[in-house]
Amino acid sequence: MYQASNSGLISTSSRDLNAFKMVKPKTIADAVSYLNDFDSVPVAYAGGVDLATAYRENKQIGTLVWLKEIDEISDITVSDDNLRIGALVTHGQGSANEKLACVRGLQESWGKIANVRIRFSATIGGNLMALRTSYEMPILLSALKARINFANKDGLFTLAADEMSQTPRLTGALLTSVDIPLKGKPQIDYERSMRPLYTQAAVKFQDGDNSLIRIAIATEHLPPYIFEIPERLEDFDQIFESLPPDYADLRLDNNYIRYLIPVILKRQIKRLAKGQ
Amino acid sequence: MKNTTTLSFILNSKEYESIEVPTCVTLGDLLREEFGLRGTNLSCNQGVCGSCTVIIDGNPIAACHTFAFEIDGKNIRTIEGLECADGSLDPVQESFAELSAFQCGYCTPGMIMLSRALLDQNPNPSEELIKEWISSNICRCTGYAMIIEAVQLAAKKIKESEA
Amino acid sequence: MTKLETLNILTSDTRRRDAYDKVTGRANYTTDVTLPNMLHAKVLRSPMGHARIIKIDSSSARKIMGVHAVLTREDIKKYSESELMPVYGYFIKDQPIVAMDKVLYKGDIVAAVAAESERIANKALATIRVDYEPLPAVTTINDALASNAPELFEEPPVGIVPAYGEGASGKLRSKKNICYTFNYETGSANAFNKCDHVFEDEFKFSRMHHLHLEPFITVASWSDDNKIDIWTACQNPFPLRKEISRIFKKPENDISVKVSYIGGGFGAKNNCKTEPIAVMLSRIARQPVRFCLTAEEGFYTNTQHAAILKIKTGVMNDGSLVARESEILLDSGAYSDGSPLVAEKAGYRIPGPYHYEHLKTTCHCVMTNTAPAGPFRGFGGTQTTWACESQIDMIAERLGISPYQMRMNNLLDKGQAFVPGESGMDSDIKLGLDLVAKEINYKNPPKEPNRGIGLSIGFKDGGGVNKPATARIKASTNGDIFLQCGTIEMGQGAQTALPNIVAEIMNTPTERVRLMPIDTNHTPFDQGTNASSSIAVMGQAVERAALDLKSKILNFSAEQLNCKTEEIKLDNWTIRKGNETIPIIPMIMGFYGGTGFEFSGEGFHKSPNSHLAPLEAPCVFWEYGWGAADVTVDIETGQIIVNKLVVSGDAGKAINLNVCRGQDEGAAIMGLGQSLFETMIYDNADLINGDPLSYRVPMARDLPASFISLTQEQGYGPGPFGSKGMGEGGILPVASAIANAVYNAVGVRLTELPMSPDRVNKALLEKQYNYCKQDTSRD
Ligand SMILES: Cc1cc2nc3c(=O)[nH]c(=O)nc-3n(C[C@H](O)[C@H](O)[C@H](O)COP(=O)(O)OP(=O)(O)OC[C@H]3O[C@@H](n4cnc5c(N)ncnc54)[C@H](O)[C@@H]3O)c2cc1C
Repeated sequence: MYQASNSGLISTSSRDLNAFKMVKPKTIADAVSYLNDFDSVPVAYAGGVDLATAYRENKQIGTLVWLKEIDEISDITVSDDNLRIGALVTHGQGSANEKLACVRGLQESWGKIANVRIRFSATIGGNLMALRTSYEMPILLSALKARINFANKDGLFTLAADEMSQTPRLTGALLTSVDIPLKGKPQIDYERSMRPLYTQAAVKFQDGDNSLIRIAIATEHLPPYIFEIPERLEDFDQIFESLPPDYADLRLDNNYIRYLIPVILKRQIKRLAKGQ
Repeated sequence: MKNTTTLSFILNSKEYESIEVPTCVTLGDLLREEFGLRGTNLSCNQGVCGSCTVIIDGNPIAACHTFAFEIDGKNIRTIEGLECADGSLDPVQESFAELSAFQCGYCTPGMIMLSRALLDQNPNPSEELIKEWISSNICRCTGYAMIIEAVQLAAKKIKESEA
Repeated sequence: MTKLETLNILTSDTRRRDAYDKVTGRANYTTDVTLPNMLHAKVLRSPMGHARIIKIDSSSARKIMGVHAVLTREDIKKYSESELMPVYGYFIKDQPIVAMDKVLYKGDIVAAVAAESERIANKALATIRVDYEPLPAVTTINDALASNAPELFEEPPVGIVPAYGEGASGKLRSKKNICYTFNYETGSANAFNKCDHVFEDEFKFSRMHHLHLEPFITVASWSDDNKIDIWTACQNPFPLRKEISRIFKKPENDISVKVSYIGGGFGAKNNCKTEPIAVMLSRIARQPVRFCLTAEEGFYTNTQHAAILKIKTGVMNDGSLVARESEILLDSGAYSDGSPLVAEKAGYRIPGPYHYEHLKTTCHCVMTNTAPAGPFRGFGGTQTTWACESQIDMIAERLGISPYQMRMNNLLDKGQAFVPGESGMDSDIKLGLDLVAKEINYKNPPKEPNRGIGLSIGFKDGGGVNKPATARIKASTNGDIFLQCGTIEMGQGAQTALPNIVAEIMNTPTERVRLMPIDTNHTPFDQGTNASSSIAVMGQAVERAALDLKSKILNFSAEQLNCKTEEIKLDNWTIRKGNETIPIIPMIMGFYGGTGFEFSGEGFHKSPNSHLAPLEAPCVFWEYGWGAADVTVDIETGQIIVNKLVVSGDAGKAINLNVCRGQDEGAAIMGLGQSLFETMIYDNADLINGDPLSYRVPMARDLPASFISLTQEQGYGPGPFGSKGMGEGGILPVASAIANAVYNAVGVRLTELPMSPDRVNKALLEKQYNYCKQDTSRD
């Protein structure tokens, strides 16, 4: 439902769309130029899963920019220090791809998201670009220190996964890929059994003899919040006192979240250790 | 620039060519309104409940969040396409009927298509895998246990028929 | 009633009759109805929880091409009182077709448009200007009852209080923002004086939405000759027809209500929902109108009742229950809908299936600025079982008695009246408890840390209050049987069970019996498909109609054969007389001529009225849901893991075992969702999870590792062959069985649903804190 100005709530759906123009770019450059023709009201279309929800908020499509023919953004590639996942990779393809083995736990973590049916359609790029706190790729990717690559009319630019929600630069931008740095041999553990109340991703990075744990926490209604701690730290509970007191939602109070982080973290550290 | 597209596809084993469709029509509406295939039930219209699940190139997809233009060049199966030409039921349909793995029936065509896709991709699914797949769709009536049993029975029936 | 000695048909036929339609996609729902020139309706809803409407300007909407009807309060006002009575409701007529003076909740309907497509209708709605004057909103029970709370209904709406029997009473507008109060009292309050202990506890119950997959939908056609045809997803077409007749001032024989398969109701699809707007728009447009709500709009249309339940129970040292007083506050939302009826039942069911000397119960319907609450599977019984069965365990614990023994000591025996004037228990409740206790290993429970088991007995009266049902059956010359009755097939298996009853009595294969489509113009009267009544109430009407039909055929045949009726039997449309088999068809043709004939039978059922019964008629049957849970509590996070869930209902006699199993299991999983996570969340007037993605319902992955349902056939039901209703029992015991298991596992008592990890954790921390405090005070 959306709120029409001056009147009230109206329940729309895909049936409220006018017939739109459709373009099928084959290159990033073409896609970007379509996405910047603002008069044509362009909408990038990947899996279309989140858009089905967006029409219910009265999203309109002037020109549908069909992304699936852009080969450049469909692949998964691994180099020595980087795992690159193309924007069009679906949850299903991604979590089943052996190349992801370079980040231990990533296949398993990603494979828990959504459900089998949705995983055939939903893409990583759409998950990120939907900018919804209830979606989980931002949590996993923030914990992994991932960089998100974009192309816009001025060229290419990159954002950290946890910067995405705060930038105006996304208008007219095409999300091309996600880079997960392999430095420090990241290993991830994702705890989502309390979803939608709460989820927590923990990534262990090796740094010489030391290792560092990067934690992303989130609730259905709140964007990820990040902590980094040395793994060896004996008594890390007080670190989480730095969680802002307003990090809470209608279902979970701040005290419980603060309490929960180390409880889950201890389990995650154990599981990560076992994974080695 | 016209706002329609021209499509060719296979629907329930029948080839269609040069079908002109407005761009904004969803697959769900195309199937129901243009092809009269009313077995594909629409409910949430946002991909959540899975009542409108059909099989596109072997994968289970909700017809409500898929535009008609997306099926160009593809092979689509709906609940109406499961029955054999002689009118006999598909083993999955047969199993759902035999074990009463349905109640109000609204989710049933979607559940059956989801199960059929599962069995096409994994002829020997474990109970865990069945649960994982079935967790894609909502059934508000049965409590799922009987559906899981029906999928197990269907797997057995398919194996028997192939043996 | 004749009981048959051996059942031939029932035991041989296990497949549901709607199986073919439903597994092939042929099943037709109201969503499949299309008519020539059909328009599509959409509505504009209030963005505020509570506001006065100052002005509505819909002039632009009316000029849009493709718009055929616009409905606002201005349009309503054009009709005189003899043409339109634009409010509806069950006991209280307080819900307007579209808002008149005020909007009472976010989502309340302000305007409606019928246009050539949903898109055009929505575009038109967006041009309507509404000026609101915001009023303070009260969105919880406590806010609505606060002394400074605004009054939702300044003018009293028209309402009735039905006749009650011994000890029961009802009152409209008993206090500010309470639209209805039900009271019941029996025995003397002095009973409390002799009690060794009196325990007072308070419980909170959450609110779910039905989330039936087939949306609320109506197609209505107001023809040029002023006849109204309505195709609708409605559980009770006859009361709906009556209401439509009252609203639109039309004779009932000008109104035809047609219902096909319903894609899930769970209580939501009773009385007016989408119907009045569809009819009104069709009246204006003079074209058929389809009004189909989206899933999100469903959340704003009907919900379960959140509740606060306060119970005071007096007991003896040995655990005997003596007296109980209770006060229940139901969050009824902005309009009364079915709330007064739910209040009756919640108030009445709070004792549970136990014996007391004194009972005094009050149940208030509290109006809040939230979506209207109404019937929901369990109908007040889910709320009362949650409180009652939790408290039984709490009392047992305080007295040092085992919860099992506490129940065994107090349960009513079979045949024992629920309360004075009521019918007796029609199951051996102890037998059922033993069954689930055994299945959960009560005597030898798992001995792992933080793991525990719990029991519960869900309880409600079934079959509805004062509920008449009629059925008609006819048999053609060839022995093809037409069954007509108003029971809707909405998944519960009526289309299987009712023809099976006829087949059994007519001694003919079930394929020969067809349940005819429902149209109030020719279907015989029924009060509605609800209250688990398909078998126990309609089943009896069908049984009688079949017996009537059978006796007519036997009498006719006996006359033709010149013998006594007792000498012959009906067997697959032939007459058996000793070893002789005589075909019926030639006899019919011989007597009635070559065009043949149809025999027909009628059947009626209603519980007899009795002023001694508190609800004016004794309960038709009692519905129990025995439950047991085995849980492990993650004491660090507070998560509850249900290792095993056992539910059991008593079908009396299962007309179809699969159907019974499905009812119990489906209901139990709804209960599991409510226990652990499923709930509507309000942030003041805003429903923050009112869409199917953020509102979480149980999926297959939420099933407990072990999930067992046990269908009992104790044989004491009032229905055909000893059957009883089954639709609701399974949801009742789940939450309290889990709460009791959690207590057994980790010693903390949860009194609020859902039992989310944060609540469990809080309870655990409090327990630890109290324990430390005790420890230090002991030093
Ligand atoms: C039943 C169900 C369950 C779900 N469960 C989960 C869950 O458990 N966890 C979870 O995280 N998510 C879940 N989701 C959400 C799902 O993961 C997202 O909807 C999906 O990832 C979106 O991807 P898409 O390709 O379909 O996006 P689209 O719908 O195609 O696009 C989404 C948005 O991103 C834009 N966009 C897409 N791709 C690009 C690009 N490359 N560049 C620029 N803009 C782009 C589009 O214009 C649109 O605004 C669930 C959804 C459903 C329906």
